[in-house]
Amino acid sequence: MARTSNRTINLEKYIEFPATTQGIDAISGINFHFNSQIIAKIHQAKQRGQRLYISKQLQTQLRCCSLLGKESYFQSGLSICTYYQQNDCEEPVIKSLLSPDGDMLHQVSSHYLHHQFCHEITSAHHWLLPQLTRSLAWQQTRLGDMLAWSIAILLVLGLFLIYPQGITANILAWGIVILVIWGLQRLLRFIFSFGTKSLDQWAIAQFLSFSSSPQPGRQKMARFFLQYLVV
Amino acid sequence: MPDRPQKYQTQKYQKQVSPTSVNVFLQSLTDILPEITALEVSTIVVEEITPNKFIPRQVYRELYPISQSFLENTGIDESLIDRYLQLHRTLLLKYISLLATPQSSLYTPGLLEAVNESHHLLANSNSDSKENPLQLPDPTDSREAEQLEQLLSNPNFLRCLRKLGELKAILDQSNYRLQKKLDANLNEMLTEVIYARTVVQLDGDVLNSYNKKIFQHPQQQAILQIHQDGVNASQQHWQGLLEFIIHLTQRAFPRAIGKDK
Repeated sequence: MARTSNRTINLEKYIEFPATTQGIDAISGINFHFNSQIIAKIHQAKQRGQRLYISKQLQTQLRCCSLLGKESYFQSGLSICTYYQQNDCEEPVIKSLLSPDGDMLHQVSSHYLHHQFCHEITSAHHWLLPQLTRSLAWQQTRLGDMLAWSIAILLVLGLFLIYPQGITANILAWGIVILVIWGLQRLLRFIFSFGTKSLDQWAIAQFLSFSSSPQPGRQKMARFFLQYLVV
Repeated sequence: MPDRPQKYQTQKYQKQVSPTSVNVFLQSLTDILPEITALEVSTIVVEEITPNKFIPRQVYRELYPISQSFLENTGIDESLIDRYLQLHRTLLLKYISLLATPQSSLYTPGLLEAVNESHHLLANSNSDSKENPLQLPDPTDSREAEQLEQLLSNPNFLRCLRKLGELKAILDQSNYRLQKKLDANLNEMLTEVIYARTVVQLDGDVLNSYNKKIFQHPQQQAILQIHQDGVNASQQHWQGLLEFIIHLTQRAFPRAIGKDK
């Protein structure tokens, strides 16, 4: 069952990102798989003013799927389809093709127009669309943090290389080492914070250059960026 | 075709100045901005929803051969022929406009005359777009492969192709059912596309248009309600997307923004 908190509803299990087979330049979209129970839950959540719970993983997938097109930065459009499951049979009910130039095409299956939950299904679908978009935005890149951590760790490792006799089995000593690393990275982060803007700018420019590159390796780097370097 | 060599010349020229990827992004952004004139939300009632999949090359191959004689030979119902031709015409127009747009990667100044002539010809909806001096690159011709490759990596063209592919899938369905219904001697014209369309212009004007079929439909209220929900959701989605794009560009190019080119 979907985990829910007071403010959010978790539908992660019912959101599917069909695998875009690597190599073949096929672009699929996002599928929602709902049944009467989930529809009722969404309806409830909507009335209570809850929001969709978006985990880090879901967010990354969403970002990859809606930002990274093939060989071009902009995705040619986002296609989102809602499937409804009843009596062991699943059928698409509503599909939306959202194009960044402002053309939005919604297709509704005529069989479902007289379904008792027709309105509930379509409004659940429409309720989710803007929430997915809202999750795309990121606050900042974590490049400064990552850099601070790596430099701090490298510095301490370097010290050990120079003074290998310093390596002990004493747990207390290791605790101090970890504290030193932590303190160092805090210090470095503080120093970096003066240059975060240009660091961010550089990172975003790098991301854009990776994501608009046709090479699969660079595309992977762009994915890595979306997954780990962005908050 | 006399203009072929020129085409290749410009391609070579563009390879030389090969812009950096960040410029490619900026380019795709500047490409998209003029297209953002309004939010257009359409709701279509279909018999069957086709799965989510977009393979640009395949859609292109399906749209490329469409012509009056091709449609007649493949047994497309007469009532739908115009709509199929419209798809091909739209795609061709998109290609031609890319050839004539200086910012586009396909810009070919040598072809401007042919472009003007094509526009003139295509403005007349009765003309056969296959008689046009400019044609889409042939997917079966290896000499035009490079041009096609470039076309299929153009985001602007891909967006257009994707929408047309979706519309073609709907037409294909209508065609299939029309033929089945004719066989069964059912002359109920249920096949006409039922739709509602709302255009929200940037200045705030809202235009609603409905296919008259919608008012004879037993689920009229349901369709209108779905459409209204769709309009609201699309507006919010689009607003979010635009905000994100602008926010991203502002942070990536704080100095470039606000400076005139």
